[in-house]
Amino acid sequence: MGPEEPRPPQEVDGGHAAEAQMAATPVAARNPQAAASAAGAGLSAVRLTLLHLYPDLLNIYGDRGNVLALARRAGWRGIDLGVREASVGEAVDWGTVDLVCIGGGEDRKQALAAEDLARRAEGLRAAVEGGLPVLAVCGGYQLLGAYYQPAEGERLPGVGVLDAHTVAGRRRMIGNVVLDAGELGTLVGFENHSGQTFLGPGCRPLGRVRPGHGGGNNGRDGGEGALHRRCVGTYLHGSVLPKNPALADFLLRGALERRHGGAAAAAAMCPLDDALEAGAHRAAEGLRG
Amino acid sequence: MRTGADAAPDPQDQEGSAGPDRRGGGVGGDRLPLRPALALAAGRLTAAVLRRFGRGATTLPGRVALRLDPHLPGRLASRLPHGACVISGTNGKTTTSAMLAAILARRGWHLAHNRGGANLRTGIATALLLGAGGGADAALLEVDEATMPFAGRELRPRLALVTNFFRDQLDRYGELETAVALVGRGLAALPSGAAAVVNADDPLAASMGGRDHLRPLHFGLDPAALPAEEAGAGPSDAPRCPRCGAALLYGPRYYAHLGVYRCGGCGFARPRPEVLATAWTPGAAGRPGEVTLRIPAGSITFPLALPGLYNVYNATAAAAAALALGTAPEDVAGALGAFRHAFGRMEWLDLAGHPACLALVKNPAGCSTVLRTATADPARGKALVLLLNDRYADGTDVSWIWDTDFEALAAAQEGFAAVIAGGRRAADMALRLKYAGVAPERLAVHAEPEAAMAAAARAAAPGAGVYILPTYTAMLQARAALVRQGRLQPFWEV
Repeated sequence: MGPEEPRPPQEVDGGHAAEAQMAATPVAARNPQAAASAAGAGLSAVRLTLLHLYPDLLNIYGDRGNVLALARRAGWRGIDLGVREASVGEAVDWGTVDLVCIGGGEDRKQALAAEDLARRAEGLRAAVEGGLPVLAVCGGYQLLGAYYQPAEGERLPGVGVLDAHTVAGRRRMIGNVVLDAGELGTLVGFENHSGQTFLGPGCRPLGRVRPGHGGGNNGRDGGEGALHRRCVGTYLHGSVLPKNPALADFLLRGALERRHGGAAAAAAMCPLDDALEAGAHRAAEGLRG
Repeated sequence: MRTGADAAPDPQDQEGSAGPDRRGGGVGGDRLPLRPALALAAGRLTAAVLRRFGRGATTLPGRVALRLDPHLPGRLASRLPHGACVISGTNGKTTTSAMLAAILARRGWHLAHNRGGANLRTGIATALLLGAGGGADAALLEVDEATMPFAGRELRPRLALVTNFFRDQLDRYGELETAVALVGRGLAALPSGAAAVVNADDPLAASMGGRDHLRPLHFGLDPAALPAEEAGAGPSDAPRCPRCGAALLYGPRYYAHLGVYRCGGCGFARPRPEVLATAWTPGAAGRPGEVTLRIPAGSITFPLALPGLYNVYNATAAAAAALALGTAPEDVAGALGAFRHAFGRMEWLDLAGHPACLALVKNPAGCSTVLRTATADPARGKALVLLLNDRYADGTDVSWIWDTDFEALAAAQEGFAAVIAGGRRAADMALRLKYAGVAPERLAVHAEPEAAMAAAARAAAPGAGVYILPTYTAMLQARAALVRQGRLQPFWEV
């Protein structure tokens, strides 16, 4: 019973219909107000590039929704957001990147990503220090720290972008989470991790867990996630950005400021109709942790 | 062939397995010892009381019985002349079980079967005790992946069938590898010589351990059976080799991570299927499709009324298991040709004059496929209802909707008069649909399943289909409402 002889190999595609469809929808149809405002400010060519890192390895939890949320919210404002993907071994020019999204994955895939990310550490660190907005969820968040100590085996060095480290824990923290996040308001999501992350003095938590509404970074200090300049690490899935438009817009605005300056950013970031977002956010706040 | 004084040789068992080991005491016609007898009686009483009050009995009787005797399932299984068969995997368990049940019924087996899809210990115990009361001579049990170690150990099945592995209910396993490992542990507990029927096209299933002592059997699809438009679609859950982590090479890839694969690193490759679907003509409105299977004894061809590639897999899997149990090929073809639907999976009913389809969704791969069936329906003015709950059985983390291909739905939204979000997490579903690109005038939110279905029926054009896609507990709610309205028979009466 030998193996079948396969035909010449085909590429395994990632199936990102969303981005292709978005490119096809005219700007004015998405948000006429934004298109008019953009045209008024002479911003018909505001462009941003979002880099989605390791979409094939670190994609375990619907984190593609974060890329989608950023692309949509940009598009609705007349901003031309291009989404690029890069995985192991693929070159990245940090100078051309305005936003980064990186998700989580199973241990083995995370190790592959860690190895590759280590080769990019210097460029990424410099970009983050210079204000590059990054959203790193779960495994990606852990990788941005100093190291990840798994239950068995070698310590995995992180990129050292965030002053944090993670240790594999015994208890899995699973459930709905509500955070109080200062200027970012209340954040809602779903956590599922056994890694315990501890922050150093160099970064602050993204938010404080509301009592009874989740475990957060380590179930002890009440903090969830990490924030350093515009680099956001979090354990929140959901996906996290669609239900938390304030966080999505924080990243988007940051990217605009960094690439196009404060005035252009202010002009482009018109308010959107977030009624559905607010409804989902409200409903999530009421969920048991 | 079972050993033991009372075991009746099964004349239809041409490919009889070595058979499970006999357990001490409690063989076939003998009285049960006191403890299991009490447990059995208590379970049956609970079921009778529930039925009296018009409630379905899928898990409570089993829960009561297990409290009294946790080994009752094994006891009961060991007394069945034809033994027990278990079916596990992520998608297709219920439909494949229903298909296999239809085949086995055709050859005269009387089954203990958890057809409602209650596939944890309590559901398995319930099915077995109801079967014991009803004179069952075999058990056919759908088993949740995490319950497979229990099922293998306790029931000593003569056959295990594994359909596939997709990312599902992450809050229960944490990782896909865990689900694969659990099913492997279940297989390892099977008696020597039992049949392990596995999907060759799924690298995760084909790489499972625990099978060295078993009689292996693989099923799959031939590239020739795949219509061009179906190839290569869908999200991919595991494009890496489960053995060594290197990239898997496909020639071709059928759906998500299923296909004809070979590892560029360690040489792990798709096993050759003994039961192979070599041709498939998809059906259209009013005309069933047709499937041809190459089997050890030759080949069979039969109509297939259920749509979609996933149902070709389900039928192929059921056929492979039935043949492993010594079923005549004509019985396999006859039963599959006549098969209509399984509980809650692509059930067709009448909803206020519209043909309505009730199809359970649980994870990105399954939901995306059901959505494709709805969008492929050429009717205009259809309605789609998505009922998203987040209880334990649904999966408490609803992030999976962001991995589901709703963009394809949005691309085909012209054919829909309304897309309705309902369930406990209706707001999340509505948000997902907005970001997928569903136009606001087409999108509505009605949290209560009954209200959502009523709104869909109102919005749909005359004669156009209403597609209702609930998660598990929402499906139970939807069915209960439909039964109350007289549109569906209670499942235990079907």
